[in-house]
Amino acid sequence: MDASAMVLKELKDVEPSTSTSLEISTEVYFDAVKGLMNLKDESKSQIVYIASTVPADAIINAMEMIGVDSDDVKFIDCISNMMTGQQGKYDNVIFIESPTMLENIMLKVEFLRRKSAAKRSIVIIDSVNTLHIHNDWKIMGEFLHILVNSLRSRGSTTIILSIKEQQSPEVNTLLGLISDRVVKIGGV
Amino acid sequence: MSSAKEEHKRPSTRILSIGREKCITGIEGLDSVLGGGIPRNNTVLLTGNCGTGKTSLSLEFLLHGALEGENGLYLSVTEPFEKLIANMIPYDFFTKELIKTGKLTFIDMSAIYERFGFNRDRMSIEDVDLLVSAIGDLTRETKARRLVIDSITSVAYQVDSQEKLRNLLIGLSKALSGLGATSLIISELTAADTSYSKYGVEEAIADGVILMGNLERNGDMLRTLQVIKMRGTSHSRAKYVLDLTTAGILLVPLLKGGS
Repeated sequence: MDASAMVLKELKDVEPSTSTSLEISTEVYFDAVKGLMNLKDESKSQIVYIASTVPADAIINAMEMIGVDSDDVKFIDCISNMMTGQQGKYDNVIFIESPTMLENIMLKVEFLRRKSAAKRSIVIIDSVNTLHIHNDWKIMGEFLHILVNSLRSRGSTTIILSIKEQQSPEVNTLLGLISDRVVKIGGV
Repeated sequence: MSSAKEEHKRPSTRILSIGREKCITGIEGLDSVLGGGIPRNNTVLLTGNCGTGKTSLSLEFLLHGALEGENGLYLSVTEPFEKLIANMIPYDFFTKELIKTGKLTFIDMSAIYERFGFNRDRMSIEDVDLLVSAIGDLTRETKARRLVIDSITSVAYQVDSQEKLRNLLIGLSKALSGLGATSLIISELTAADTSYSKYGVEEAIADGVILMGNLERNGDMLRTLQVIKMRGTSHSRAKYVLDLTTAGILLVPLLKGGS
């Protein structure tokens, strides 16, 4: 079974109001993303994808190349604007000025929730490691704690992607505190 | 296609309301901060620097009220009505029917000045009383339960003493409260101002003070909101970050990062 199928198998029945930490190795990154994109077919939830590892455009293009449709996924792109203010061509992408504007990520998640007809959302954070490059772990902890619990209270689900090769003890501790479940895929 | 009225969901039904009857602003995060809304008949100073969202918040306050059947009156000193509407955020829940049906009324204050022949450079104490009376009449005529004055700072430019300004604010507060209106009085601050209002007396007389600001953090600029005081309710005094969106104003707590 490849990584995308494993991700789908592990996460397709994810419970409402829960938080799952998905730990992957770098080599299976795009396979894991493919599995996450396919969650939209398995769930009646709105999928919100917070992209801070690679720009949303790059993810959408990569998915198109392997025949995965991501039109129904709402992206919050935290890095494109930072890189010379580039804006993409897709309607399903919202941009944030910088990955340091963590409050704005929460605000955009709430905005998309208000706009959606779906009763609940699955919010995917890609990834905790890249957000940690730009943010102190204390503010990261506060951000994740508030976001995860806010989503919990609304019956929504959080999936927090982390990359094994970039893991730090602080991030591990943080994920242990806020995750109900840890899923490891791809040689980790 | 659903109508603006259908799309407008009363968001505050789950908020526990304590104390006096509340005027639900309809801005979910703000109602939560205020323990259910602004206590009815309060006169609230909405204060802050330019570009912090004061006009948007006050417009949304009136819009939600109008959609719930409460008439709203917007008195503008700074901007003509057409420009105000043209620059308004295209809210999902706004419809021009609210204006056509009289649920929302916009009045340019210069029309009031002309009607009463006020000397625009310097108001006498009698002019101040007349102005209070005129605003009261307009509130009564439009059956407004929610009122916005944008801005008291601009009105105060024509009032040449703190005593007159005090009279104006106390008169307004009494008149509007007596008419059952909950009011937002906008006050403009500059970066150099150290109090919550331009002349110092506004914040003391108002029943509530909501401070809106710009916070710079490591080069990022965030819009913030903080309820400094609000008589008649138990409220949070924490600082929140806000976003002005077509779905309305959204609030989240300001992250402190262990500081």
